[in-house]
Amino acid sequence: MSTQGNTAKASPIFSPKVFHGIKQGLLRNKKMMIVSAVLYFVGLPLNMLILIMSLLLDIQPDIGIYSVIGALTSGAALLCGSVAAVLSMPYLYKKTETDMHFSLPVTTTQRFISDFFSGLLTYTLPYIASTALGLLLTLAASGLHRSMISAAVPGSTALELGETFFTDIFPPILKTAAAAFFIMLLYYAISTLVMTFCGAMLENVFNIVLVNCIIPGFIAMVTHTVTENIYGLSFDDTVYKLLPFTSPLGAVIYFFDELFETGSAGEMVIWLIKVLAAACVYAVLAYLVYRKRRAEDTGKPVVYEFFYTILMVLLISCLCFLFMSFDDTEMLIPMVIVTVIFYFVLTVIKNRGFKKLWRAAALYAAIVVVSIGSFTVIEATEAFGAGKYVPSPDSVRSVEIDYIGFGREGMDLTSGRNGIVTSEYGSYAASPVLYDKANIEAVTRFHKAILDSRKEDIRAQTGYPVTLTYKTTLGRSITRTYPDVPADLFDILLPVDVTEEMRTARGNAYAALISRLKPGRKAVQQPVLENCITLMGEYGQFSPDGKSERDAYTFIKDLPEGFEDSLAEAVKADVMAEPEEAYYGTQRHRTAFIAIWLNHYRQNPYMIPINETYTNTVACLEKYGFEDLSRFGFQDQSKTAALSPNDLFLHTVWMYSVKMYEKAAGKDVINGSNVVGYTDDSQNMSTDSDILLGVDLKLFLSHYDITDLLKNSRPDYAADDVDYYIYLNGRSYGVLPEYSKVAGEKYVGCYVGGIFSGKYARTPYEIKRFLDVYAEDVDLVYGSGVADGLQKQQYEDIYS
Amino acid sequence: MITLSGVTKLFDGVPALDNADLEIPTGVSYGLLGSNGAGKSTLLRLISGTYRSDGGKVLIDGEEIFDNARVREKVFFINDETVQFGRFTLKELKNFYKGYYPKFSDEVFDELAKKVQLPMDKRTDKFSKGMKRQSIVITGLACRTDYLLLDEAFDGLDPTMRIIVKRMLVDAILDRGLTTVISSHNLKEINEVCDTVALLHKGRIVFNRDLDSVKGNIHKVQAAFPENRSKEDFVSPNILHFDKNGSVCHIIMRGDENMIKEYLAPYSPMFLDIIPMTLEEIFIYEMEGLGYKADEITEGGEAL
Repeated sequence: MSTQGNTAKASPIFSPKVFHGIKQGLLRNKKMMIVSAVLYFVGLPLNMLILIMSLLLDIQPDIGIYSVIGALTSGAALLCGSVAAVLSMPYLYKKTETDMHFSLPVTTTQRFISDFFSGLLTYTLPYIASTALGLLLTLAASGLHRSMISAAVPGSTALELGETFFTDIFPPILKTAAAAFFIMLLYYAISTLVMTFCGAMLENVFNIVLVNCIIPGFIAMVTHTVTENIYGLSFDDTVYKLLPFTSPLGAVIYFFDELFETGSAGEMVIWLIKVLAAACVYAVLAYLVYRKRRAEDTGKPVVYEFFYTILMVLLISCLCFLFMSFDDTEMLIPMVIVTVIFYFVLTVIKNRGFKKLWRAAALYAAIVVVSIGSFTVIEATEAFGAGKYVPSPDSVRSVEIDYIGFGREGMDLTSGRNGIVTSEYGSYAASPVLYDKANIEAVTRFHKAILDSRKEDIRAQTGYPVTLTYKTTLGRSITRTYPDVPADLFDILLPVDVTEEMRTARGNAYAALISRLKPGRKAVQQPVLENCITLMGEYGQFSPDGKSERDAYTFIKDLPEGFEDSLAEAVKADVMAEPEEAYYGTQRHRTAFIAIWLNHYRQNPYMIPINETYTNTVACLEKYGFEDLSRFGFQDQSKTAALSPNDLFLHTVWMYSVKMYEKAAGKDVINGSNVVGYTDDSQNMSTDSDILLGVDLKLFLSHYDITDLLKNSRPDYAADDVDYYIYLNGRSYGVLPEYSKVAGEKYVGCYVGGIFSGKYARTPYEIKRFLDVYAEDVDLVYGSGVADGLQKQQYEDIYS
Repeated sequence: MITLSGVTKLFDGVPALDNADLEIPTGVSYGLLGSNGAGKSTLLRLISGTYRSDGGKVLIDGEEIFDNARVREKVFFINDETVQFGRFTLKELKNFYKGYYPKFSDEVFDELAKKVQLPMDKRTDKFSKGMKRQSIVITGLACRTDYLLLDEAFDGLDPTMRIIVKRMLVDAILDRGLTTVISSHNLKEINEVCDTVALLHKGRIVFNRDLDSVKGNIHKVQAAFPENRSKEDFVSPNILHFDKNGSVCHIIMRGDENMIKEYLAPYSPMFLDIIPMTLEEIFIYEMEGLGYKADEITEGGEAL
């Protein structure tokens, strides 16, 4: 023992011999380095240029064959990681190399370190060099881009684009380069770990491929089984985040899904650290196995039998789960055939013959039985009760709730239900986390109600997605995702929306969004809006006089310094101060939206509503020169009738897509989708008039009464006792129950079916009914003869 | 000094070396003899620290060699393969080992390389087997380790080159007290180079003595007796082989001349001729005594 102690002292881990070993390893692998360098130098700059062009021009450049070459060469170069690992430790699979390397005057640790790092450098040096070149090309392309874009896009300026390039285009490229590097480390470490378990070249290569596929495959398969069969158990939060650390492929998918466009620098760095940590864990495991391994193990197909057994268990169970997920007993025989083929072929190869076949058969039988058993148990017990579990409020420290409006960008406002679910959060802010006991209790009641409302066939259930993440007092995290929560259950959460912590969350979310603007920089208008805000009225692009101002983004401003802080502060203050009765009140109308255009990745802006009590916000906007707010009907809807009957009618007519009849009407009319009507299914309403799937759509209109009705309706409000909804400009207003009778009197049923573009499926009778009632109004707005024209055109459409 | 005490090495549970005790003093040239699969290569790999023993201790100058970089600097192991050096030129081979062995001598390397006239810049996979062998031997000698282990050291060398390599070894032994441990089936070479030998069989060390004592302790006896004698008349553990051709008995017997004469005196031999044996003959008869019949051995013919 004392001898070993002295030895450790005398043999530092990083001795000159280790560096000599690294150098020798690089010399040994120089051919491999040259091959991968050629692949990288062909592929990476090409890929970067393609990426730049697509990012800058916002189109997919038509350079087909070059993208294929770029993808193939880079892919092949990235795969060289396993080859580098294999080449750096030839004595692990070549018997003739063992004596030479194992007898060298280095310790096992020193040998591992020198060979591990020589392989790693073999793998990464060409990448680093080619990436450096690629980044230089990227920088060069920024200059090229200015002239290209200036010529291609009239109105753009070199300065604006240059700024955009360095702030918005270069970072994602850098992000991708960094992510690729860390994923390479992960791949290399996993390959090294697999190598230490194998003693022959064939098994090395095969198992590296298998491990990279089978671990994420198994996780995905089990998760799929669980999520398909157990209501509420979530894939996204429990496993999706784990996948990147089990396979490079998972990491690539995760990066492009979660980080490439939307991940902040901080998130990116944290994720990269995690990937690096995972790579280190694999490397350390590889080292531990390497230390245990003996020289004489080289030549054995698999050095540690348990490794092969684990692989087989994963592979065969994965296949079993795949077949069983069909939920069909007829799949049992194909399952057995396929698994037998896989298992026995691999086993015969591994055993280099038919020896120990009985043992292999027994293992196979055990794996299949356990897989089927596990599947059945998971299904029968709903993952051991997890599917039915709702934590008690006392055991919950916090709950994060993600539902429509939260964490969902680009959500159509009409999809929302009550105020609570249509708080216009976007993916720019985290979902609110509730700590208040009363709120937690409301969420657990909501959770129970979701489970109670579950139908037998959950796939037939319709509703809205919700994700709940509890953190218990013991530090446990419980996540459940329900894709289809019935709309009326959200009423349980209604009181939560006006609590201080929810308001704070909402205010912080808006502030976070606003803070992403870059004051002091020029706003970009072409080819898409960037780094600017516009104000939009309740009626979208329509001005109060009924004229179209669809393209009139008149409020683009170069944001002054300090603007974003002031606006964020003002909005936050308004959110916090908004009276409860105003929030819920029937008089509440959003009078405008602040549309925030961050960058060209998103074609749509993020919307922050300006409600009637948002005095700080209005003052702030006015202070910074947004003096034309009134032009967009920015006024208190409860006091003045912002909607004149003609405005309403104008919007209503679009329901019939007057655009399609403009020729018949002989008038220059405006395309739109604005509708006052009633539908049983708000999902079938579309703001796009060309694709209006109006199944059982019924219209009602009364040009003088609608304003009154609107005053007694609540925006985005849904409840069991609401019988009528007014859809205006694509937004739903629930008529309060006490006005149902009035609404019923104004209602005129009119069926419109089919797709509203192309061929029409409306019956002439329904149109006739509509025009019988409203022909006068149509003529009043569009001029005499339009109603007749519509009617005539309708008949022509049907009978032509 | 190389010391093995109670060393066991198992392969898949089967002992390749079974509780072996051995001491190889510094400065000797040590030969390892044994049948195929006797454990010679395993023994060398244990001494070089390539293998980890499953029991017992392998010490070099009193220190465990396994995973001990400092001790390993004292040992250079040349195995019976040469393909692993194929990717190197001689110059690269030199540079490879130079970084690991602190006492590496460029001078020695260059001098020996010149002596064997090997091209420095040609990859060794273009070399013949003998040339590769020379390359690694001169590299091993240039490392100037205290111990040089050679497994099938002279395999593939032509007669002239054998002489040159043997001289190199002998020079190193004489000049700087290099300890060599040589395993070979070519017993002539062992006979010429080694002063001490050990015989291994089935993982056990049968004997471990200096060569002279080995040679002086086993003799071929040709004798004729007045009575018709058969094998059964000579019962002694020292008799390894008995054969009769007409009235002349051929006996292979352990012991010195006096002991043999003393043993046979009661039989009143009519004539008695005691002949010293070569190492090959000793090996064959010792192995036969252990149940390893010579007529069952398949080999190239050169050694036995």
